[in-house]
Amino acid sequence: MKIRHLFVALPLAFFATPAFAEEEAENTGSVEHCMECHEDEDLTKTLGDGKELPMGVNLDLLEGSVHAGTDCVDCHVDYPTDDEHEAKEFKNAAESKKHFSSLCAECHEPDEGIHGKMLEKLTDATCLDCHGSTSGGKGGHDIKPISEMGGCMSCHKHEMSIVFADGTKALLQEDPKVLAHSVHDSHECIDCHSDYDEHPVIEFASHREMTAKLSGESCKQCHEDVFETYKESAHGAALFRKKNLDVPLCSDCHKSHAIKDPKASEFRNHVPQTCGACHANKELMDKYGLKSNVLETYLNDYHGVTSYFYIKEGKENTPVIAVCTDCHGIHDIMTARGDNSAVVKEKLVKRCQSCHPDATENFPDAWISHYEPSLDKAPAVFFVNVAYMFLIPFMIGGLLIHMFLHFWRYAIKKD
Amino acid sequence: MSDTKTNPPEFFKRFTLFRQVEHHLNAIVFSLLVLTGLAQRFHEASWAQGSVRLMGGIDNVHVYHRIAGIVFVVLFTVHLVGGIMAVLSGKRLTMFIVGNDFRDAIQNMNYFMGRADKPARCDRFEYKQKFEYWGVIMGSLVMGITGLLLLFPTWLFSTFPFIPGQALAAAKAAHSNEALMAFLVIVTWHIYDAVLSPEVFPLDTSIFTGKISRARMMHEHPLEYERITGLPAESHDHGHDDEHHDDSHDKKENA
Repeated sequence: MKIRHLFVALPLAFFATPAFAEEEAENTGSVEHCMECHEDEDLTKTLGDGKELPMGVNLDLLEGSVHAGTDCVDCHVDYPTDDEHEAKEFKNAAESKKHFSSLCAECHEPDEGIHGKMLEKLTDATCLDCHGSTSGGKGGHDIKPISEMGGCMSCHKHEMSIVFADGTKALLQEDPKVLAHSVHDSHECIDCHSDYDEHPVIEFASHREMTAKLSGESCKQCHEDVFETYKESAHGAALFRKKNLDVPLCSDCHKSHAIKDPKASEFRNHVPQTCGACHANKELMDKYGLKSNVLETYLNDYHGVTSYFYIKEGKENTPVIAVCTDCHGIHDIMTARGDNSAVVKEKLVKRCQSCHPDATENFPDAWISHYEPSLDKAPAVFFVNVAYMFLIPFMIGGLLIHMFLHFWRYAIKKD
Repeated sequence: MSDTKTNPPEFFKRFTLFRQVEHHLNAIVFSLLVLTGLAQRFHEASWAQGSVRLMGGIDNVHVYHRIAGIVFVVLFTVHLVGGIMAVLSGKRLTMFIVGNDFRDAIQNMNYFMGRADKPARCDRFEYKQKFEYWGVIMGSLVMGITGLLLLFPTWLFSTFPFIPGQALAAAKAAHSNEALMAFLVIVTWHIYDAVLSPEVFPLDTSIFTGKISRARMMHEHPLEYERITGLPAESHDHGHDDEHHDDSHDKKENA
C-alpha cells in the first residue's frame, strides 16, 4: 500500500500551473495527477441510461476515511497512468457501483466470514452498499468502520434476506423507525441480538428455528418471569418438551420490532385476531384435533361483536371487553382437556367476576364454549334456533301469501 | 245514540289520544331498537357499520339500545296493566281471538281466491289486526324478558342457582331471532296493511287522526258499524263500494 503525503501534495495540486501538471503527468498516476481533472466538483460522465454520474472527488472525504493516504490507483487499478485515460462505459449507476466494489477484492478477501457467506446470497449487493455512505462517484471515498457508519443499520437498511436450509426465507431489512415507535424505543440492536457482536452467520435449519432462538433467549433476558410462566403453559411446554415450533413464540403475538404496549386497547382488541392467526387455521388445528371455528364463534357473540367494532373504530382507550386471553389466560394458557377442564372452569368463574362481580358457578356456561349449538352441546340454544328457523319462514311466508292474495283481489282482479 | 241511528256520522272514533301516542312512541322506540340491535346481529354488513359509525360507535349503540329497550318495557308494562284492568273491570273485550276470527280468515282466503262472494264481515278488530296485536304482545314478552336477562346477565344465575348457564345463551338466541322476525313482520305485514294495501293506500290515517270514515267503517268493520248505528252496513256498503258490488255480481255469474 502506497502512502502519499497529501498535506504536501494537495496544496501543490491546488496551486499547480499547467506546465507543472504536465510535468507531473509524465511519470506517475499520483493523486495530484488525477485531481487535475477530478477536483472539478461539476465533472460528470453520462451513463448508458442517460443519467449523469458525478466524477468530482472530494479529497477531504478520503482523508477522513479508513483509506486516508491511499493512492487513487491503489483502488482504481485498471486505469492507465498516462495523461488521457479512456472513459469506461457503464449502463447505469448500479453497474458502476458493482464494478468499483469488485475492486475492493484487491486488498480485502470477500470469502472470509460474514462477507463471503452473505455475498453468495446477496447477489446484487456491493461492498459500497454497506460501507459507503454517499452515492454516486463519491461512494467509495468515505469508507469507515461499520460502528461509525450507523452500525447494524448501515447494512440492514438494505433489502436483504437470508434463505435457510429448509428453503424458508427471512427478510433481514429493518426500518429503524419501527423500533423507535415501539415500547423498545431505547433499545439497541445488540440488546436483543446479543450473539451478533461479531456478526457470525449462525446456521439455522429454518426461519422458525431462528425466531425460536431469538424469542427464547433474547426476551428472557429482561422478561424472565413471563418466560417461566410461558414455559409451563400449553404452548411453552410443547415448545420446550416436544420441540414443537407450531406454538406461538414471543414475537408471534408481540411482534419482533413493532412491539406495542400489550395493555393498550389496540393490542387488547386485536387479541382475537392474534390468536385466530393460528386457531382459525383449519389445517393447523386439525393437526392437534382442535376446533378452528373458535374465532368465528367468538366474533358472533356479544363480546366478539363489540371487539369487532372497537377495531373498526380504531379508538384508543376503549372499555375492556372480554377477549380470548380473559378466559384462557395469557402466558399461562392451559389445555382445557381432560383433568384440566375442572381447573380451567374454576378459574373461569373468577375471570368472569372481574367484569361481572355477581357471576356465579353456572355463569361461565352462558358462553357455550365455542360450540355450535347442538343437541349434545347447548340443546336449549339449539332448540330456540331450530324453532325460529321454522317459525320465521312460516310466519313471513304465510303473511306474504295473505298479502299477495289480498292485493290480487283488491288491486288486480277487481273486475 | 238515537241520533246516530237516524243520521250516521261521517267519521267514527277509532283510537283515543292515549292509544295514538302509545303507537307513535312504540314506533319510534321499535325503530331505534331494530336499528341498534340488528346492526349488532349483522355487524359485518356495511349498512350496520355505517349506522354504528353514525351513532358514534358501538358503545353509544349499546347505550341507545338499552335506553330504548327500557322505554319499550315500560310502554309494554303500561299497556299490559291497562289490558288487565280492562279485563277485571268487565269491559267488552274486542281484542281477544274468538272462533269467528278463524271463520273470518277462511272466508277471506276463499274470497281472495274467488271461491266466496263476499269478504268476511268483521267487528271492531278484524282477525288480521288481532293476529298482529297478539303477535306484538307475545313478541314483546319474549323481547322484554330476554332483553332484561341480557341487560343483567348474572341475575338469573344468582337468583336461581340451579338454572344452567346455556339459558342465557338461549335467551340471546331468542332475542336475536325474535327481533328479526318482528322486524320482518312489521316491514312486510304492517307496512302493507297500513300503507300499501289498496284499501288504505296511500296511508291509513286513523292512527294519526283517531278517526275512520263511514265508508271504511262499513266496509272493514260492518258488525261494529251496525252495533253503533243500528243500521245495516251491507246496503250502504254496496252503495259506497262499487268494487265489492261488482265482485259479488261476477261471482254469481260464475256460479
